[in-house]
Amino acid sequence: MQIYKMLILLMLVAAPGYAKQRQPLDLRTSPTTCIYEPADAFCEFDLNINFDTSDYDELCLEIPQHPKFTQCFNNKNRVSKRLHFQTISNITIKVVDPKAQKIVAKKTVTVGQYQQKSYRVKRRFGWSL
Amino acid sequence: MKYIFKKFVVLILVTFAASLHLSVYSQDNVHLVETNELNLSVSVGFGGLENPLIDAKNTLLPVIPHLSYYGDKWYIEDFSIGYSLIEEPGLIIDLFTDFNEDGFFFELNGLENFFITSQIPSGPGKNGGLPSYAKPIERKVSYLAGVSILIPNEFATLKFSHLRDISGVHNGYETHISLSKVYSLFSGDLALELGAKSKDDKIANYYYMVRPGEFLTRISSYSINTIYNSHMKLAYWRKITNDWALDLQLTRTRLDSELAATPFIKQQYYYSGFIGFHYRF
Repeated sequence: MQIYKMLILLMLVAAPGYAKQRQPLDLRTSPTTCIYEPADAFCEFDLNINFDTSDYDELCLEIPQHPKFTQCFNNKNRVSKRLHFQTISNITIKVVDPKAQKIVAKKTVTVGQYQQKSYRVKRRFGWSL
Repeated sequence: MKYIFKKFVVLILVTFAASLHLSVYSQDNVHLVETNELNLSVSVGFGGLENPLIDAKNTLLPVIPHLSYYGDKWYIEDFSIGYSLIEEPGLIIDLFTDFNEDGFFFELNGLENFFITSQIPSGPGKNGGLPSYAKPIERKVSYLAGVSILIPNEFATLKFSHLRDISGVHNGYETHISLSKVYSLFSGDLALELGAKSKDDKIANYYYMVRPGEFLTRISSYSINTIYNSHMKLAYWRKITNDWALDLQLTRTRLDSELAATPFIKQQYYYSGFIGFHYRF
């Protein structure tokens, strides 16, 4: 009987916490990679960012590589942003819960320069023994 | 000897000229190397250099280190440094440096400090096994610089080079000509090379003319004209993994008859070679 009571008590305590479990934030970014030609000085592209805020009171979008870009959203179900970049380094997109001071989603856009391998004729085949 | 040498060179040139109409250049008969990448590697196995000098010891080479780097114009291949004036698919013209090989016959003890671990006797000399030299023979290793012309072709690769001593040892000249062909064999590359080298009288006399007091027996004075050596080389290379490859080389060199007749030389032909594994770091 004691065990039965304890189980009910445990269920009552755990149930509210379980109910508050959120689904992971579905952060979608595009493109995921930008490769630029050796002749170009940087990679230039429009970055599309989409995520849903319905599970949160407030969420902030932070992009450290984009000068001073921090934008917060309240009670808005769907966030859709389009940002223009000219960069030679990777872009990190973070979605932060400001109340919990926690990063709830993070994506990286990889930026790289196309390195065309070049070859020359080897002048010697082994040692001149 | 000069007649044989000329015939040999003409054979190389005619064979190559006859092949020129066959095709334009492709990647055949050359080995390509990635540019701007330092290649450090080591060959481990069994190798050796037969020393044609009288009373000299053959040299064992169980470990052979390699270093190469090809930039956009410059390149380094072990001890050779080069700069390409022209590098087109069918024609490569380089300025380059390299060691003269004759000096190493006399000064292999210096190399021993780097990577040669042992030397073995090469058999009796011309006087039946008794020492020939009255004192250690001193000849310096010389370093050369010159120009080379490489003509890759679908049939073979023709190489011509002309070098001069820049180390002030003998101020002599060398001219090399070779024809090499690469075949695909058992997923590897088999390379065959025929070559000839001429060395002027300054080189020949610096290394191979007897100086007073060097030999125990009395040697009549002589001088040597330009010498013409020739060689055949066979090399096989097969990649096993990204880091390891099978490495096989064998070269047979024929010395000029006039050179072979000098008291320094005990045999007109000598071999050098290596069989083992190549590891790239």
